[in-house]
Amino acid sequence: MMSNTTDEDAALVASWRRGELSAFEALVGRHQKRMLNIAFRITGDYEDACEVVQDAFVAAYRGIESFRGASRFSTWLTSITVNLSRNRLQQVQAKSRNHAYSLDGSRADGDCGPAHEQPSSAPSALEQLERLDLHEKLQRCIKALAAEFRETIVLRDLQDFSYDEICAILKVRQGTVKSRLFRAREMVKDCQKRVVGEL
Amino acid sequence: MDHTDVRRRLSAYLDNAVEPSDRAQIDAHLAGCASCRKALGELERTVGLLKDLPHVEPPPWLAGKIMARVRDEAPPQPAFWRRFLLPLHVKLPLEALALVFVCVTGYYIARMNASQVPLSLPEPATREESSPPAPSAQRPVPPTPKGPATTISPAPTATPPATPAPESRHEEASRTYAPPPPAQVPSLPSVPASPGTEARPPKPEPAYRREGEFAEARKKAQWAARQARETESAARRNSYTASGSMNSGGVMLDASHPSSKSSSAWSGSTASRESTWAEQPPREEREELAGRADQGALLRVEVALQTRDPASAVGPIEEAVARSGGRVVRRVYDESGHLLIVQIGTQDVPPLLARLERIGKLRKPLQAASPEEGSAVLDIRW
Repeated sequence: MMSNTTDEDAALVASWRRGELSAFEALVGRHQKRMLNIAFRITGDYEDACEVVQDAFVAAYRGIESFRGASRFSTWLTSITVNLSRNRLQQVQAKSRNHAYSLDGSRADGDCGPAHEQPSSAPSALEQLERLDLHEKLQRCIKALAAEFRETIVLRDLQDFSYDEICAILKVRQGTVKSRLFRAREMVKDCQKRVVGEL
Repeated sequence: MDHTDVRRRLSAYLDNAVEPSDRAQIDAHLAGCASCRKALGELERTVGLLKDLPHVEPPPWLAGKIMARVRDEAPPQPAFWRRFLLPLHVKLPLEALALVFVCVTGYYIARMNASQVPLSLPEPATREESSPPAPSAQRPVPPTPKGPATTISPAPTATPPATPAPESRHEEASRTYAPPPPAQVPSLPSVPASPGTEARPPKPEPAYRREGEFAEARKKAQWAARQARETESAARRNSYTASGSMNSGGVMLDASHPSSKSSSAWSGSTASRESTWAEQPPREEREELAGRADQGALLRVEVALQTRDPASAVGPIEEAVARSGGRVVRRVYDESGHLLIVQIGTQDVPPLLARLERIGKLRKPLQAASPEEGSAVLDIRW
């Protein structure tokens, strides 16, 4: 199945290189959902994710000459999407740097990180999280991770990329991937235990 | 392997990404460690929850928006002829060919235009030169209101005695200005040349081919003329006695060879006479030659040469004359045409005509080549 997908992608990329715009449109249709989910899990914002996906496909269209076919097209496109998502996340964090970061405020961005917890007389972060859906709580736990852990756990546990593919996408060694994944899973597990209780 | 090592490897253990030896050790440790088994269970459930997270659906407009942006980015389709020329293996040779064509055309046009540039400085419309050249021929001719040289004063009636120049000097001059070398001047048994004519050392003809040579020669001529005047004054001071045969002429200075000034002297001629002699052809000689030719003593041949650029043909023609052993008697370079009167041995006429044919289209009489021994006067017009 994976081989068939890879072959189809390669054929579409070849047609696209010959100038067939319909081939590129087909690639957009095949990969937009996966790229959107990656961007959404990394940025944590649906609208931001939509913009990131648009930018990623446009960047791929511009930079098709740099794609030499050494890796799968999906791996190359995912690398672009992860980089753009990381940039978008940094922009958002830079904008909100001057704002008080608390779940009491208008932006409830999660509380899994101990550094983000602020004392408040309002309902605690845990109480707010308990009222949320389990998936929403899990998403917030993911969002509380640092960018490098977030990217790794999204690629492995949510998108089921192999270790080698993650190495190619993030351009890190496998040991780094294992380490980041271990720590990311531990942090999400701890977050879930605090939010939900017993796993 | 203790608890910490096992806990660190549990994540990779779940993904089956540990070494077989490590896996065996972890299995052995898990078999006897309840807390580590519990940690593994919690990790499995966490990963399970992550994998069960629902996927968000892209908005329906997303693909359209992406394609709209891509179409804005896409360059317009090139025209057919441009697509034909776009491959480098076609375009580069065509561009190289066009570049070569432009260079060759430019070179050809430049050569055509260069041939129209006058090869000498602006001079009077008509200029006559005599052979051998006078110092004034190598000296800048002052612009005179009299205009062409046809109005210049008569030539002196006598020429100075002979002072043969060294042979090497003539060869050098021949290489530089292509004058007729004196050694190759055919003897004129039927025309007893005047002492002055014979004795006058042949001077290099200013067959200037470039403006630089012309300017350089003019500078040398000016310098030589000054030296000549000084020499003349010194000769007078030394009471140099002019002989009867040196009544009005003098030994010509080789203006192009300043080193010869020591052996050159003017006797009994003033500066004005010097100038007059220089600008005036040897009338006696010309008249005598013409008379002898008219009387049939000399073979007279008139040839016409058609050249694309008469001005630039001056040098090659004079060079051809010199190589054929001829001697230039008279030059008339006019805007309407050029005339070169050459005295040459009859046996040297055919080679000269052959050389002239290489320069331009030659029209000559059939009887031009005479097998008889003697001298001929050749009028070359072009």
